[in-house]
Amino acid sequence: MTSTKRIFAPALLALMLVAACAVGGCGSPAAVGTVTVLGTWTGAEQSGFLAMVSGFERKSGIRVDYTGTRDANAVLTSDLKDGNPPDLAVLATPGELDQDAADSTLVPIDAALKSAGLAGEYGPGWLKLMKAPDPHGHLHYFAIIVKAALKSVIWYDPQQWKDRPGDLKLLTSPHLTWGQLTGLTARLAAGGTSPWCMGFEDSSSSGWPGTDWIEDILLHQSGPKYYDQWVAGTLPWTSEQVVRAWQAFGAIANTPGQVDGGTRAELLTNYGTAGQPMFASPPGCYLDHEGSFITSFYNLDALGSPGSTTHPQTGTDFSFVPFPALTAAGQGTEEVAGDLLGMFHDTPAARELIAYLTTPQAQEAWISRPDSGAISVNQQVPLSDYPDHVSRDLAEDLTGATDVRFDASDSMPQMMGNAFLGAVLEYLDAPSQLNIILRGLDQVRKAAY
Amino acid sequence: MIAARGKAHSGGTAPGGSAPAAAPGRRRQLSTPTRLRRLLAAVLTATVLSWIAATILQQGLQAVARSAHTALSPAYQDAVQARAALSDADLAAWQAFRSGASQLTGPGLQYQNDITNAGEALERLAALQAPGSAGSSLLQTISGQLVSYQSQVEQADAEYRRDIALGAASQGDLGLVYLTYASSTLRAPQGGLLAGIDELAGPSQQALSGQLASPWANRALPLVFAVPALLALAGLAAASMFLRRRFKRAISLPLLLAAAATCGLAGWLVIATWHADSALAAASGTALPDLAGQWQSQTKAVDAEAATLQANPASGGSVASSGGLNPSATQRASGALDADLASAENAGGLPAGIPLLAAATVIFCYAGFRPRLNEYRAIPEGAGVRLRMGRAGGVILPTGGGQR
Repeated sequence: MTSTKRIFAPALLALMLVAACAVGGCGSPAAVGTVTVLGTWTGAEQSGFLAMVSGFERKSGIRVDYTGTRDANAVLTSDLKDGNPPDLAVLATPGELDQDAADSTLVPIDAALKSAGLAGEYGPGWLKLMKAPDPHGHLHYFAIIVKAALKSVIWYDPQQWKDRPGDLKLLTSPHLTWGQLTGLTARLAAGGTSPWCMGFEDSSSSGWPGTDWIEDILLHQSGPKYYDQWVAGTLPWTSEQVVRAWQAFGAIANTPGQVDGGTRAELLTNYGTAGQPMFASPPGCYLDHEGSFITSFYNLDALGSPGSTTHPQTGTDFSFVPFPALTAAGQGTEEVAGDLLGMFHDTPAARELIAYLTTPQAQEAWISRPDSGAISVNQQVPLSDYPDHVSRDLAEDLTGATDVRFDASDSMPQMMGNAFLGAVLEYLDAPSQLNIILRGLDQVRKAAY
Repeated sequence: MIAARGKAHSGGTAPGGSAPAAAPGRRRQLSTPTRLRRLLAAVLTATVLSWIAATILQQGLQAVARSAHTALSPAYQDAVQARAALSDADLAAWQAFRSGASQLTGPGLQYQNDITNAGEALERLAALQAPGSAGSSLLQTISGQLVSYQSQVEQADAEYRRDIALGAASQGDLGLVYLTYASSTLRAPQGGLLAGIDELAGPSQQALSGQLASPWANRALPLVFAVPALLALAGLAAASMFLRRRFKRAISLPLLLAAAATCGLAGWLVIATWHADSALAAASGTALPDLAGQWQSQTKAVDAEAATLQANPASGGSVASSGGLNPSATQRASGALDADLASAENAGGLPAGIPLLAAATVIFCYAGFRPRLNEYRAIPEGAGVRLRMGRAGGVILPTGGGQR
């Protein structure tokens, strides 16, 4: 090689490298170890979930890509239709869990869970909720309960009852009956203030606060036996027990003066802000029937005048009483609900996250947040981890309850549950049409079960 | 050749290694071929460096413009277009329901057109997302929410007709209630459909603005290229002076051409990069803010009108004739941005011109040095007794020659 060639060769090589670099660019390696999660938690609930998984991300190096929307169910349906679901998703109902397990859309998670350990951490009723039959009829774990809620709860602001000590004593009495409660609300209504706060709007799931009312009334009026038959589709919607529950609900929701703002406001108010008038000065309403998760919304409400930047404090500005029994048959039972998380893509990272979320450490990360409104059903989570006495009382009631029933509209087949939501709205709009509405629900029942 | 060939300087040095040891305290003299080779190496190195610098500069700038034109700008425009179309669809639905036209037409033709436009924009946006990316995941959610929104509007339509059939038995106007739910699905500040699109549009606009203000678009950047180009020119000048002094040449045409090619490359590069920089600056300073302003003002007006219709049942007839979006204004603004970005991306023949001119410089350099180097090729290394003078003949030097 001549000296001039020795000069040219490296120069040409360098040029080729430069050209290749300029034309091709430099790619970065694709991210690995990511789990996509779709859930209904937004706002404070979303923050709670992200706090829950942040420890997992740090420990495992796996990234959790969470998307939160109140329309998670509609989004999941669309994703499944497109054949591109997230790795993990919150299931709207146990009914959906059964359906997705039966058609192999969900992946069994037995391998991800340490089943033997779970038995010592979760009550049998909760473990049963996580299971469903596969297409061959074999029972498997298909979901975990990330957090739970006590639904048989009536909220009030103790500060607004200070000048009604007798009524407050009655309200907080452990032996409060339905009759006493309706007598109390009648007195409040006669005083010119609506006793109840109500809001049924929740995007594509609007109407569920009304189903909670009817479920609680039916459970505490006719008892768990009829409740179970109703959920199982063997008790007609036109049966005496179901009709009575609807009528009791209508006596509150459709009676002028009983609900702040009247029917139209009930229909248009979001469930999360329905309790706001309870903290106003003077109050717009005194009582709010909502699940235990509502505390995360109360913490954002304005205390006193509208626009106030002071927010209600747990225990001081809001507390709860259990939903009273309407009859002897309805005593000693409570309605509960839980957020089920199922696996749609079986990846090592998704399995690892599923396993982590069932641990007491993960659950503690969420429930210990002051504004979370979350309750764990893992019995290993100590009550002392809850940030206030209201949360502790709720958790104690939930984990210690012996006769609980899962939310009926969530437990029914999805078609039936959706029809139930719509029927509540139609009933509020046209209460005189109750018989027609219930006959329509019976038609749906025949198709759904 | 302009200068006469073959007349070496009388003091021509023998090829490398033949020079005697320098006297103590005196600087060692390099042989002529060694100096020639070093000069050639220096000029070629500077040329290669300027080639590399020009290539990096041109490619970097064009990559910025291309990315802005073909990826970031379409992503931003599709996102804001989808958002505006959905806002307008909501307004159109409220207008149809409040005016009573929905009894005959449902949510109406404008609603249908807006939904179609939004769907198409979202599809284009999805095509620009990397599979498995956060944007892709968010778009999946948005797509599901859009289905949910549409089904709620359909439900509103059905309930609206039911309300009419029920007459006084209906106390809640359930059709309008469902339309409110649909609007809530669309407009919820947290987790709503439009909030999801805003999550895509905001970062897209930031990414586009950031790209347009990229350091590659800095007008001073060609100075980086100027350093090796000036070095190459300096090397060529030094070589010309050396050849004139040592070989009695007034001027070397190949080296002159090499210098011309280097200057040409520098001039072309500076003009082209300044043109691209100007186009990017126009996009950044005028076209993009105009377009963003158009979308923002129109969407804001549509949102306000829809909110008025939703809140005030009596307002229906009076605002039902509102024009909604103004597509021609946004199309004009969009066209201006696209034109600027296309202009910035268009480098003309520069990508081919850079290697051609650089190669020409190298070839001319080689052509300028080769005859002189060839004159020394036949002399064995270390022998150092004979200096070939090319075709014109040679002179015999005594061993140990090469001293000036």
